Amino acid sequence: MSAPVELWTRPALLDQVLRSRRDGRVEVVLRVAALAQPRRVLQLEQVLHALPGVASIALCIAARRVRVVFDAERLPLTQLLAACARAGCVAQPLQHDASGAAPGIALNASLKRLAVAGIFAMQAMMFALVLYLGAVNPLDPTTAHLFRWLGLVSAIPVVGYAAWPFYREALAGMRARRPGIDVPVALAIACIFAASVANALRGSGEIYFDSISMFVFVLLLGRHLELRAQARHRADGDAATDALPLLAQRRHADGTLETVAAVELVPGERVHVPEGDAAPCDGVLASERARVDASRWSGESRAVGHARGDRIAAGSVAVDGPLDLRVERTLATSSVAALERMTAAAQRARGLVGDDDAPAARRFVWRVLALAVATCAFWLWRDPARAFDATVAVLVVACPCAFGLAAPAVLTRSLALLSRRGVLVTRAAAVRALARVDRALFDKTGTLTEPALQPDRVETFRGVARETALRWAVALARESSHPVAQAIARVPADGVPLAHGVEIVAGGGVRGVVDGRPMRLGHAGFAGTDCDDAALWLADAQGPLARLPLAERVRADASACIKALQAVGVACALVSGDAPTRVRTVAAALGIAGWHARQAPADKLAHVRAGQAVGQVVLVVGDGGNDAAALAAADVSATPGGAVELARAHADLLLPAGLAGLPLARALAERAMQVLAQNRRWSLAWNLGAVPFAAAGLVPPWLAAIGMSASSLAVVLNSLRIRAARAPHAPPMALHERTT
Amino acid sequence: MAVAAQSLSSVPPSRAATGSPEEDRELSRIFTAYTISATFWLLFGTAVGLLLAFKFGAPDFWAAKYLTFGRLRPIHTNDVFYGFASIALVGCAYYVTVRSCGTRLYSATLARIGLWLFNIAAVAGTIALDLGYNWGDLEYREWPWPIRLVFFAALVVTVWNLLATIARRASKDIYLSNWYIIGGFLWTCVICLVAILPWYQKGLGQVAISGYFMHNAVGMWFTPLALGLFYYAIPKVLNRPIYSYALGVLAFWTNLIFYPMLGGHHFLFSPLPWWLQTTAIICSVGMLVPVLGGSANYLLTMRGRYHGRIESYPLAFLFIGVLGYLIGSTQGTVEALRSLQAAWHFTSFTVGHSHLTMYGFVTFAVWGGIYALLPLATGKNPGRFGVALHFWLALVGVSIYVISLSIGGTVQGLDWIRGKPFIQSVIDMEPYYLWRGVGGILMFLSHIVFAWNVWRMTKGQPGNAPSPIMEPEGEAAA
Amino acid sequence: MNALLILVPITLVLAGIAVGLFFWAVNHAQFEDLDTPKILPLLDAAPPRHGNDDAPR
Repeated sequence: MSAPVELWTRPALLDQVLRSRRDGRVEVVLRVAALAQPRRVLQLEQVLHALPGVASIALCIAARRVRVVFDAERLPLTQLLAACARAGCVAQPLQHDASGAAPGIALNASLKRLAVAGIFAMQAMMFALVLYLGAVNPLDPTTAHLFRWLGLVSAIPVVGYAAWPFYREALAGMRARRPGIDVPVALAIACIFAASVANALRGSGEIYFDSISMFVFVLLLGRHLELRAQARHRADGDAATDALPLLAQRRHADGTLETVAAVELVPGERVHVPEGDAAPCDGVLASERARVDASRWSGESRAVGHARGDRIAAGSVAVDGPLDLRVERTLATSSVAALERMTAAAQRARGLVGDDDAPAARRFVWRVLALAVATCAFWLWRDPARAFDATVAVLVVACPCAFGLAAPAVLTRSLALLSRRGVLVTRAAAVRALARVDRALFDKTGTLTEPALQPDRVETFRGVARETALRWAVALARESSHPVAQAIARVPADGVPLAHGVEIVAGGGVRGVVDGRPMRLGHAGFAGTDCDDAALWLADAQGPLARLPLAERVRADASACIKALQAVGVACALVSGDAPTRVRTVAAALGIAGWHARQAPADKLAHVRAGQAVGQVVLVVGDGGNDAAALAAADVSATPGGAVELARAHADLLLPAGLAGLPLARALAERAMQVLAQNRRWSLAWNLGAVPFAAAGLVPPWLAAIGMSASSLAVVLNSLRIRAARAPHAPPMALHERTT
Repeated sequence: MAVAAQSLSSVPPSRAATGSPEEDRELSRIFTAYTISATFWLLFGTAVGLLLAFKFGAPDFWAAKYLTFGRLRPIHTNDVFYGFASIALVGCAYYVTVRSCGTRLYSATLARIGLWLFNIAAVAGTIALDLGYNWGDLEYREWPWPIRLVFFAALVVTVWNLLATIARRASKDIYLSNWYIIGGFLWTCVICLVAILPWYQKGLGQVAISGYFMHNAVGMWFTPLALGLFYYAIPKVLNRPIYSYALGVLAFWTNLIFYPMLGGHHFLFSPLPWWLQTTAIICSVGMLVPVLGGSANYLLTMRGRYHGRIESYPLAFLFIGVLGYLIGSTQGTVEALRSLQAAWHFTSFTVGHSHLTMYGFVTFAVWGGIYALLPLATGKNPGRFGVALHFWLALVGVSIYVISLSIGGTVQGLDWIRGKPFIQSVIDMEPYYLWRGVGGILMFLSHIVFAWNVWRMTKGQPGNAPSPIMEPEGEAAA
Repeated sequence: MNALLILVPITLVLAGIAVGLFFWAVNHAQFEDLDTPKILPLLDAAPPRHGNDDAPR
C-alpha cells in the first residue's frame, strides 16, 4: 500500500487512525514492515524520538507495529510519516479501533505487581528469618516486637497492591457464580493477613507475613509468564487486521483517479485497484477479466481468474494487472469484516466456559472453610484462648499454595517442552482441552495437503535444458516464503546460482536476475503468458522459458498424524471448501471416513458447534481465513506453519514443524494432565495430613512456612517429570500424487 | 555499518545522536583529565602500599612518625579507593553514558568541577591522615567528615550531570550500562550520608554501620560502575552485542533485592547479634545469583573469540576483570560461611580477598575500559609492547600477591585456632610476606608502564597497537 | 541496637526507591523490547578503519 503522505491531512482519514487521549495528545499505531532489523528499529526509534511533540514511542517488533503518542498541534501526522520514510521505514497508519487498546498495559501492570511482590517478599522473609532464628538464639522481646511490625510494614504493599488481581478475579467469579481458583487464594490471603495483623497488634500469637508474601509472589510469577506468552501471540495475530486497506482510489466518471479513505466509498462508486494492492471493499468486477489472490482469507494459495460481474471480496489482492470494482459493500460491512466479527464472537463464547479448575477449586475452598470453622468451634468450646491461633494455623496450612501452583507449574513445563518440539502453544488452557479431545476436524488445502512440483512433467521452451530451467526456478523460488515457491525450492538441484536484485511481487511471483538474465517466476499472467491455474511459469524478457506444473500432494506427515490420533480414539473428519472429488480422494488416501466438501466458514463453525452440542471436545486444524471462525470456536485449534495470519491469530497451537507435532502434543497433554492430577492429590494430601496438627495447635509458623515451601517444591519437581516422547520418525516422503 | 551512519545523519540536530566534533573533543578532554588524575593516584597510592608491604618484613624501616604503618595504611586504602578507582571509573562512566545515549554531555563545566572536588578530597584526606587527623578506626572512612563531605559533593555534581545527559538520550531505551552507573551513584549517595551522620555512631551501632558501609562501598559503588563499564566495553571491543540483554536487566534488578543487608558478615563472631550475622550470610549466598548470571553473560559474549585475547589487549584486561569478578564474588560468599570465617577472618586472607576484588576485578576492569575507550576518544593508540608489558606484570604480580596471602592467611588462622603464641603466627607468615612484597613490586612496576601508556594515548606520541575494536568475524561478510 | 533503627528503615526506604525506579522504567517502556537495545553500544561512531559490510541483507 503506497499511499502519498499528503493524504493524511484529510479529517475523514485522521479520524480513523488518531485516537484522542485524555491528556490532550493523540495516539497512532503505525505498521512498519521493515522492523525485522535491530538497527532499523533503533534508527526509527531515534528518528521519532527526535521529532518535536513526540511524547512516547512503543515498538512491538513481533507485530511490526509502532505506537506513537504525540501532540497533534505541534506535529502533523504527515510529518511523522515523512520522518519514518526518511529513516527507510515506510509506515502505514492503522485504524485505531482495529488495533484495540494498548496491549502492553495488562502486561506492564502485571510486571509492576510482580516486582513489588518480589522486593517486599524478600524484605518480609528477611525480617521473618530473624524471628525464626529467635527460636534458636533467644531474641530480646523489644527486638522481636520491632521485627513483627517490620514484617507487617513490608507485607502491606504485597497484600494491598500486588495481590489485587486475585481479589478482583475472585469478586468477578463470585458475581458470575463461577468461583475459580482465585476465590480460595484471595480468601487465604485476606484471612491470614488479617489474622497476622491482629496478632502483631496484640503482640502475641503467630504472624505469617513472609509466607503470605512469598505465596503471592510465586502465584504472580506463574501468571505473568502465562500472560507474556499470550501477549506475544496477540502481537502475531494483530498483523491479521493489517490486510484491510485504509485507502482507495476512486474513479470519476471522466476516468480520473482520486485517492480517498476507504470508509468514504459509497455503494455504486467505481474503485481502481492497482496491481499488487488489496481490494478496499466487497465489489463486482467492472473490468473485463481479472485474477485475484484471496489466499489471505480463503487459504487457497493459487490466484483465481474472474470475469466481469463476478463478486470480489475485500482484502483480495489484484494479480496480473490492475482491476476496477463497483462498490457493493464498504469495508465496515464487507464479508471480511463479517468473518472477523463471527470469529470474535465465537472466541468470546468460548472464553466464558473457560477454567476447568473451577469445580475442584470450589470444592477445595468449601472444605477448607468448613474445617476452619470446625476448628474454631472446637477450641471455643475447649479453650477459647487458643481458638484464634489454631484457626489461623489451619488456614495457613490449608493455604492452597501448592494447589495454586499445580496448574501453572505443569503448564509452564509442558509449554517449554512443546516449543522445543516445534509446537507453539498460544493459549495455555488449550493443553487441558487437548488431553480430552475426542473429535478432530481437518481442513484440506494447506493443512493436509501442500502444493508440489512435478519435475518430470516440466516443459521447457526455446531449447532450454530441463535441468537448467529447474536451477533457475529454484534460484528464484527460494527467495520467497510463499508455499508454492517453497514447493519449487524443495526440488533437489545442483549448482543453483544466486539470484540478484530479487523482488517479491505480492500475489504475483518473484522477479530477479539469475545468471545475468532478468527473469520472473510466478503465475502465468505474471510471467507474461495466458491463464493457466495448474502451473507456475518461468520467463525472461523474451518470453516464457519453462512451465512448471503443480500438483496437490498429501503432506508427508499427514498420514502418520491422522493414524496416531485415531489410535488414541480421536474421530477425525475432513471439512473442506474444495470440490467433492478432491476431498474424497484425500480422505480415502488418509483413511478418514467422514468428509464434507464445499463448506463455507459458517458451515465449518456449525460442525464444531454440533460436535460440542453432543458433548464432544473438538479439535480444529486449519490454515485459511475461512477456518478462522471454526478455529476460534473449537475447544482446541491448531494451524500449520504456512497458515494465513487470520488463522494463526485464532489458533491455540502453531505447528511450524509440521503436523507431526500434533499427536506429540496430544500425548504430552495427557501426561501433563496426569501429573496435574497427581500434583493436586499431593497438595490435598499434604493439606489434609497437616491440618489435624494445625487444628490441634501443634504447628508453629516456621514449620508451616517450611511445609508450604516443601509442598510447593514437590509440586514443581513433580512437574519436571513430564517428558516429551521421542519425536516420531517421519516416514520417507511418500508421494500420494493428485493432479488438480 | 553503512546503515548506522545513515541513521545518524538523518537525525535532526536538535537532539542529535552524537555531538559536533568540538563536543567530541570536549568529551575526550574530560575523559583524559580523569584518567590522568586517576593514574597519578594509582602511582601514589600503590607506592604507599608497596612501602607498607615491606614494613611487614622490616618493621623498623622508615619508622618516622609520619611514616608509621598506622598512618600509611589508611592513606593507601583511601587513595586507591577514592583517588584512583573512583576517579577512573567516573571518567569511564562519562564516556560510556554520553556514547551509549548517543548524545552530548550536559555540562563539561560540571564534569570539571567534579574532578576538582574528587582531587581536593583525596589531597586533603591524605594530608589529614598523615598529620594524624582522622575519624577513628572506621575502615575506609577514616577521612575527617568535612573532607568526606567534599567527596559527597563530587558525587552529587557527577550524578546530576549524568542524569541530565541521560535525559537527552537519542533512543527510548536507556542502555544497561547507564542503569548500573546511575544505580551505583544513587546508592552511594545514600550510604555516604548514612556513614557521615553522627547520631547513631556509638558502640555496636558504629560497628554495624561500619560493616554496612564497608561492604556497600565496594558492592554498590565500584561493582556497578565496573559492571556498567563491562556492558559497554566488552561489546564495543568485540564488535558484537552482549549475549543476552534480558539476562543483564534481570541481574541488575536482582542485585537491588539482595544487596542491602550484606555488610553484617564482616562481623561474624563479634558482639553483634547472631541473627543479624546469619541474615547477612544468607544474603551473601543469594548474591551468587546475579554474580553468576552477569559473569555468564560476559563470558558468553566472548564465546568463540577467546583467541582474540591474544590479539586484543583491552579484551585480555576485560577478561581477567570478569574472572576476578566471578572468583572474587564467589570467594566472598564462601568466606561468609561461619565455619570458614572462623579460620580466615582477621587474617591476611582477607587482605588477599580485597586485592582479588579491588585489583583483579575493579582495577583490571578500569584498565580494560581505558585501553578500549580512551583510544576511541583521543584517536591515539598505545604501544603494543607497553600494553603487553603492563598486562603481564600486573597479572603475574597480583597472582603472586593473592596466592601467597591466601596460603599465608590460612596458616595464620590455623595457628590462632591451635592456640599457638601470636608471635609464632608472625614467624610462620614471614615467607608469605616476602612473596607479597615481590608481587607488590611487579604490580607497582606495571603501574609505571600504565602511566607511560596513558601518556601515549593522550599527550604523547601514539604507539603501534591496533585499534581496540576487533575485526568482525568472518561470518559477517556474507 | 540504635543502628538498627536507622538501617532497617533505610532498607525499607531503599526498597521503596527501587520500586519507584522500576515503575518509572515500566512506564517508560524500558522492558518492552529486551533485544534491540543491545546494539546501542555498537551504533555510535562506526569503526573508522575499514568499511565492513555487515549491512542488512
